Amino acid sequence: MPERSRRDLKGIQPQLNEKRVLIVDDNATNRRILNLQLHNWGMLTRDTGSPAEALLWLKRGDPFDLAILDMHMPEMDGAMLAAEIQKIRDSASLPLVLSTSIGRLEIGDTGKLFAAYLNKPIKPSQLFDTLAGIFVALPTEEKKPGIQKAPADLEIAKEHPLRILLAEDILVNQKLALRLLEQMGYRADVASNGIEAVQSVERQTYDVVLMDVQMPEMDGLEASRRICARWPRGIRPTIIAMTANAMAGDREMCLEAGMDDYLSKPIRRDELMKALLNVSPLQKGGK
Amino acid sequence: MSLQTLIDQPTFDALKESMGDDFMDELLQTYFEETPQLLTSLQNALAAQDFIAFTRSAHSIKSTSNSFGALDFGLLARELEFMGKAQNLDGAAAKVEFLAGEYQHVRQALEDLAHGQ
Repeated sequence: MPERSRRDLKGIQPQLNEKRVLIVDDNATNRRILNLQLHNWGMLTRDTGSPAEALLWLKRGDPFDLAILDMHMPEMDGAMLAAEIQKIRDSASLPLVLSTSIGRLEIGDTGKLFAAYLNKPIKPSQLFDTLAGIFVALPTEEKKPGIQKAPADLEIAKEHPLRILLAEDILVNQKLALRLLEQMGYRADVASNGIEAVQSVERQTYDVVLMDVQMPEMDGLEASRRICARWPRGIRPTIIAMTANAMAGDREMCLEAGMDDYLSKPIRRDELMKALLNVSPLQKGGK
Repeated sequence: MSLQTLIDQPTFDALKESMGDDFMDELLQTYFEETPQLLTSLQNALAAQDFIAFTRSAHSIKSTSNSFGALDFGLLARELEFMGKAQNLDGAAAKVEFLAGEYQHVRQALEDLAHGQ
């Protein structure tokens, strides 16, 4: 890592900024402290005191980059919850961190469930080093020789063909998204603002629209509202929002506008793939 | 005053890995063509006090720059985006000028990285 004032832990930290963290701890005060600290660093957090609720969020596909689980919780302890989570999300896409007030040895063997451990009371410097360490380690792990990129990627489009419209005004983002799609075997039509997106949907049947939120002429929210107002679900394409926003309420704003799913930029291939696999193609005669 | 870290190497490497070397070059060229246009739009929007266009331009600069790992540069753009959202561009002129100046360093650093220096 660069030698940017390592001990200056006030304010936004580029290594952590905009990362989405799930916090599960039955103690509301602990949750509040963690929330405040992580927010201060630019992270986006969601917390719950209920392991069952956390599992529900993950099962329905809510996106998180990391989860911090407390060991001592009444209905289900942190290790049990981690084992359940790993049935849904693998540890590379969602690293898990266990927070505990007892020593690591006393927890017993948790195998490879956790990427890291935090000892309570959690000091900001320990928290920062632990989280930054995990995010720095992630891309390198993917690059280990011998671990090939999923070779079946190109087959995805064959097995799950989709008619895709990409609505995006910025060329770099267009190219990046088209490249990721191409690697899965998909092609896409491109609209460069909201008006074009609505017109394209009018003219042609698409199973899915990848919709940038910030666009000139008409933004992605308004375009989505118009598409949803004109064609009912099942006839209209699935709309997946793409945004580089930093606000915690963005996802909700997109869903309120009628969008079905949400990807944050920069778009990652595994997340895009997952979102596309969730799309049900329309009947041939559909919109 | 200048940015402490121009490019976050892990982010850059991860993008390069997922795009492939040749395509990464093409993507960088596109970024080098598009960013000056966005900076111009930002300056024009500032002059016209057009908050919506200002916010959008800053947002786009943030988004594409972050993709390449120009995270501190992206943070500057994000700050401007928030000023646009808050419809208060007091003091924005100096920040826009600084952003435009820093872009030259970001560009140089990206070129150096792309050519493996």
